[in-house]
Amino acid sequence: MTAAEPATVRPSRATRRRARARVAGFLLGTAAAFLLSACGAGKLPLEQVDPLAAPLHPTYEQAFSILQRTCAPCHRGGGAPQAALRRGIGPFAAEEDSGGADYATCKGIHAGLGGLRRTALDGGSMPPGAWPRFTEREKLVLRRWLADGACSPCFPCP
Amino acid sequence: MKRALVALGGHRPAWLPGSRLPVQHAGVVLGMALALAALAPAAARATPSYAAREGRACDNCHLTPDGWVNPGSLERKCTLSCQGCHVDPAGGGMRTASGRFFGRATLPLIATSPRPTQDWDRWLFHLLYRRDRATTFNDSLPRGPADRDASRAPAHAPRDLWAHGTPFGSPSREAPYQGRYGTLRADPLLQAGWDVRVATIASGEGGVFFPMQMDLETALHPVEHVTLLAVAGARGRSAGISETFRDARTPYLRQAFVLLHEWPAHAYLKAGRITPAFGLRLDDHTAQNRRAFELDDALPEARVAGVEVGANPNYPYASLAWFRSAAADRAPAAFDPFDVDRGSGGTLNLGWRQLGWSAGGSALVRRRPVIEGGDAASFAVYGVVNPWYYRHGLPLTWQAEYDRGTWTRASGRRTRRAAFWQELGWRAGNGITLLLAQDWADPDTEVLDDHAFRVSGGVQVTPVPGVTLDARLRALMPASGSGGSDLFVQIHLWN
Repeated sequence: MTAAEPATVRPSRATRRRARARVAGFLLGTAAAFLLSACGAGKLPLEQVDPLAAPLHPTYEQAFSILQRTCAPCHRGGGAPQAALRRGIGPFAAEEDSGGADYATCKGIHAGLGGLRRTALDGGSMPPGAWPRFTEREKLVLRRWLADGACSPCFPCP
Repeated sequence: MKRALVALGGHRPAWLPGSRLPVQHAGVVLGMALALAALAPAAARATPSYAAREGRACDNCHLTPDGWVNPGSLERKCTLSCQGCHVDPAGGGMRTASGRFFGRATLPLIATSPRPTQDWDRWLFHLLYRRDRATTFNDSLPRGPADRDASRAPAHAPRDLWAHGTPFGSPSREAPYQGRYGTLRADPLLQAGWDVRVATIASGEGGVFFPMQMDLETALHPVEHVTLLAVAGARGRSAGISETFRDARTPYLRQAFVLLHEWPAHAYLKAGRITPAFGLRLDDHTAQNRRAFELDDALPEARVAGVEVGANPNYPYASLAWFRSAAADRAPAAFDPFDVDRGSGGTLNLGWRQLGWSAGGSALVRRRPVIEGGDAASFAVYGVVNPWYYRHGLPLTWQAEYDRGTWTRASGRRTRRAAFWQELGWRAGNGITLLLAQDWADPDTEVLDDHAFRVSGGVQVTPVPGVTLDARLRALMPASGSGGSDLFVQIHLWN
């Protein structure tokens, strides 16, 4: 035997008014949290707030570990065709403005230093899409490493 | 309004010497409170707790018992806690019989178990309408046993491919009844499960296709009150499948602990390799309120070795943990649950879960030498509201969490961080949930323009039990540099 479907009972006007007020309050609260959470604090860049937050003279290993974690998952196998990029299926090689870099190898990193500076450090557009960008500490490590001449095992400093 | 915010913002918390909550942070908390208060019930309902969204109907999680008598609150097997559906009381991973039943009966578009009876109408403000007729509501729906004796009837014998045997000794009073979850084995000796996620992320610059999670789960329940859980997984790498399997941390023990449970009030003790319980359990490990607080669940580094005790009587809940941890940037040995450095810490979670809403708070304290990541103290307040419980035409669930804390930079100087996350979900129909989420983090409140704001919207579709498709459009707006957006699609296979 099929049981009767539960009947739809129209709530009273007062009940509907209370429900509407609650929904309005809910939307208001959510919107307030949404808008107010978009703000940040702080007045100075990390280098001025706390210069010792990152090594003053980072080693290649310290820079490499950042690039390995953040860039190499996609930018590897330098010189690989752009077709992989267009196809939208990774891993893919770096864009032309990063010189076809391969951030998984020492020589590949040096090939992509220009692109690293332009897109990740100055432009802030890499990693792409909605991926988290470099942290301020990571940027400081990379900037200082570049300023020191980007010394590495494959391009040792004099 | 501004004066009220300033008044709230001027408060100086005792746990944060010398700090002042910025006005906008006070506004976030106030906004959350407003949203919670707006949907607070006119009168408290003395019903047992179920899940935040699905707890509105008993047979979402088990068959309706025949001749049911509600037991005392300390003896109830129903709970809104994660351990209602997962073996791990902190949530995620291997599912209990109740969780597996939910995955077969309630979650999918095409259910392999009868649909819950109180789950028919899903319209939103009478504008968007769906009448759910996946299963006919009639008197022939199966019934579960009302007590232990009835569960021994041949009609309730299990037929379960992934769970076998029965624990040695007589069953405890808190052990689940056979037959309450259909033909699934309610209290198995040995159980196998998995969580596999394959994802693709596409943006204007291209895309990646990669395994995000590959976990195999095993639970051994030799005697009542004792369960051993081991979860071995690959460390998902966005570089692709070959890189994932080449990774030095693949495979590794994501979890390995002994769990003492099936006590009154859902009390438990677990010890081994665990993840610190903090805030809401999120399925998005990239959420900024997790990453900024060293709680990215995808990283082996987030695991600790420790002991956690907790209880979830209806309706309050609490858990307390103590742990040792490896250095912040060092992944512990793959198969040594006790590979730790000098760091130690603890967590405390307290709250109240009601059928239509819940609210709670978490504290996480770490004590480490600066070289291992330094001291940190994190605090969270969070809440969940399920308007669906109060009004049939509002199949929505809203969750929000605000986090704040201190941490130590590599220089040894202390600073603060803050984060916020919220998500609104609309259960548009069987197996279809539309989601709108926002997260934001300021990883160092002393540093200019290091915060980022992210919004995402998408849909989760579970066509059949064991398969969930999740597609999200995400947009990131960092305070400095250029923003971006991408399309994130994942296939989640689970059991």
